Amino acid sequence: MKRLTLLLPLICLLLSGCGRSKPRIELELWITDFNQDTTDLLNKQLLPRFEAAHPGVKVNPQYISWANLDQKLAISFAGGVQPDIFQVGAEYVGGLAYRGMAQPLDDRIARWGQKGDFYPASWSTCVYQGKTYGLPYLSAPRVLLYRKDLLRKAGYSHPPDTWEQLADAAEKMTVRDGTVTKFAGMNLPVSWQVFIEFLWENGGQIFDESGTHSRLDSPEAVEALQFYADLYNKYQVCPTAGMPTIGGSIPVFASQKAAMEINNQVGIKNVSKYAPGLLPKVGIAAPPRRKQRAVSVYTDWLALSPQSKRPDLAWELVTYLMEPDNLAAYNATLFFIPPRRSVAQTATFMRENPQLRDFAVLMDQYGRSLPAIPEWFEIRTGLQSAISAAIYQTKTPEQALRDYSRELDELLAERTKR
Amino acid sequence: MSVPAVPARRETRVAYLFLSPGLALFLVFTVIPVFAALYLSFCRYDVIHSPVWLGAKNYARLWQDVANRGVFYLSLRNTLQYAIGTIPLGMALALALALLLNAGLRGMGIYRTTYYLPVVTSMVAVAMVWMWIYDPSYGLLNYLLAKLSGGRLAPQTWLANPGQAMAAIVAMSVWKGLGYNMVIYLAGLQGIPEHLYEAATIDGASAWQRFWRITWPLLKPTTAFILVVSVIGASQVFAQVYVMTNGGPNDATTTIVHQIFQNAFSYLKMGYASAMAFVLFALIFLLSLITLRLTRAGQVEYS
Repeated sequence: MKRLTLLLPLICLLLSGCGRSKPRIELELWITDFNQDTTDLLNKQLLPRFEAAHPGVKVNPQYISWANLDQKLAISFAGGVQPDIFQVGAEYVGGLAYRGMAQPLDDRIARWGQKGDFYPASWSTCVYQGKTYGLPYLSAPRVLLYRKDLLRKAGYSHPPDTWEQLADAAEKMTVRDGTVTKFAGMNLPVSWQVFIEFLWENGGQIFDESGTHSRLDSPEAVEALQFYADLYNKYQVCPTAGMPTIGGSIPVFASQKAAMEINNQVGIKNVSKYAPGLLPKVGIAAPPRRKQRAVSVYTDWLALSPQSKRPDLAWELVTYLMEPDNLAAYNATLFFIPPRRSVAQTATFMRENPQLRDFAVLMDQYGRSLPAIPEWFEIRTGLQSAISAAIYQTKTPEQALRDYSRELDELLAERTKR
Repeated sequence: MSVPAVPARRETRVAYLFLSPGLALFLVFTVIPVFAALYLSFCRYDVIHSPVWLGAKNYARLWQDVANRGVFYLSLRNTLQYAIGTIPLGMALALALALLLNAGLRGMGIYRTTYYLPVVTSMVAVAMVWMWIYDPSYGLLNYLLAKLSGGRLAPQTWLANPGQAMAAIVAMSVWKGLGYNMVIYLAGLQGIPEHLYEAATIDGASAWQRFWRITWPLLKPTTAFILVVSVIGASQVFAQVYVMTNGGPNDATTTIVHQIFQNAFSYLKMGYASAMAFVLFALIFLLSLITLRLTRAGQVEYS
């Protein structure tokens, strides 16, 4: 009897709970690029407005860390509970498309009719083998940031335009005390991202158009890696371990420890945050060219799950988030370049920042996205090992790239054999 | 009156009944996954599609990688470097500390707790703290170096330098594991009967002789235990590598388990990663066998 009296309220609670909840349509949304402002914007403004326009619909946003994204996506997909909409990054389309983890959206996009407003380099981030798997949400083009004052002292009236000028200017602006670099002519991380930029500028590519054979053993690739390694070992414009910074948390350029760097618009944000007085002295230009110019663009985008039970509604939410005002508000919280031309040109935060507009212009002129391939994450790691071996001089650039090229050919052959 | 004997078979059945929850957990979370991994190590499996049988191809690729001095070869080499760096140093320091503490120091409990604290602290937290210590521009270590050398020594980059990164991880790991080995040694020391030392002192044995003739031989089983546990632990080093360097710079710190993790969870190559795991299993098995054989020889007992 006593037990029953204890259980009674519980049963009532359960029953009332069941009685109250009307049949509801729920959409799961995973967001990976966010800060406090972003979550406030989505939770308090954008999503409630969407829900108000769609009675009975509830959007459940989940804010996911990049570190867990791959595992969570694979596991949720294998379990048949992938979120209806999920945000991924510049390196995802090949793997998602190849594994069937994202919906091709070409028919919907054709009916939507707004593709032409997007920057081509942002758009191509979501394309694999001619099909489009999502819509670009945030863009970050990497351009040359330089100190106008120091460059003038080094005898340059314009930003370095060629590789030769880049090496020369960087060498002249470097300050060394014995073996210790006090001030770097160029802030240069040992990273595959930097190598790819030199590779593109030299007219090279990682693999052929069909994604079946390595092109890293080409003379263009070897020359690009040689130049990259020379910047450390011959011109000594930056230590391989990077420059020490103020307090360890302020980035190198904003710490005034380097005269130039290749960076996206976050570099400008850091300067205005940590060294606002420096801002007028910072110039923005296209990265120096060899055979051509290239601005690498990293775009995060929204994908739709093929497992979604409400694909039409999910598509409606995605296009709602892409509406100019909503896209501008989201990009403003993160200081990214909106991937739509009309938005980048009119958004208030873009108009208030002339330097941000320069980023958008350079992205439009020279922008290029990473090549789409299912094995990308493995390639990226292998590439990092190869360029490290050349920069740390355990192999020559030619040997490092030849060795990795052979590995890459084997890796690509595995897919084509299937 | 005697209690009627329960038939032996029934008693066994009851015993198994009581054991069954534990056994079920062991079966579901250990035995089945181990055999599943063994099966997967002969397959291509990306979690999403069902496994495809490949025969011994994954193992052949590993062999090829070692022959070409690829990244798996590097991970084997780095793991060996880590083991050679941590085990002898860690054991010697632990024994020295245990001897000091066993000498009847006042406040021994406090010391014991202090040295044991890093052991119970999470590896990720410890690794983060040591990253601060190793930071090139504002780290404690470079600060001390500059102070001690009067500014003559240039600040080192530690974790960003391929020549120093593994040594930096080794130093941190020795510090982290010291307390564990020390407590085991302390237990071993306290198990040595006092009267042996008394007799030796009466016979005029020096402190050094007492250590080599009594303490060291009688600690052999303890040493053997610590050695085996350390070899296994060193072969499985992962968390500090993942947090502090993620295998870099120039692959100088990637280890076997780090490679397993990358292949399994970054590239979704569960089959290849499982093959690596079984190579690691074979290595640990072999090393443990050798360690046990070596330490069992010459074990003594004084009654």
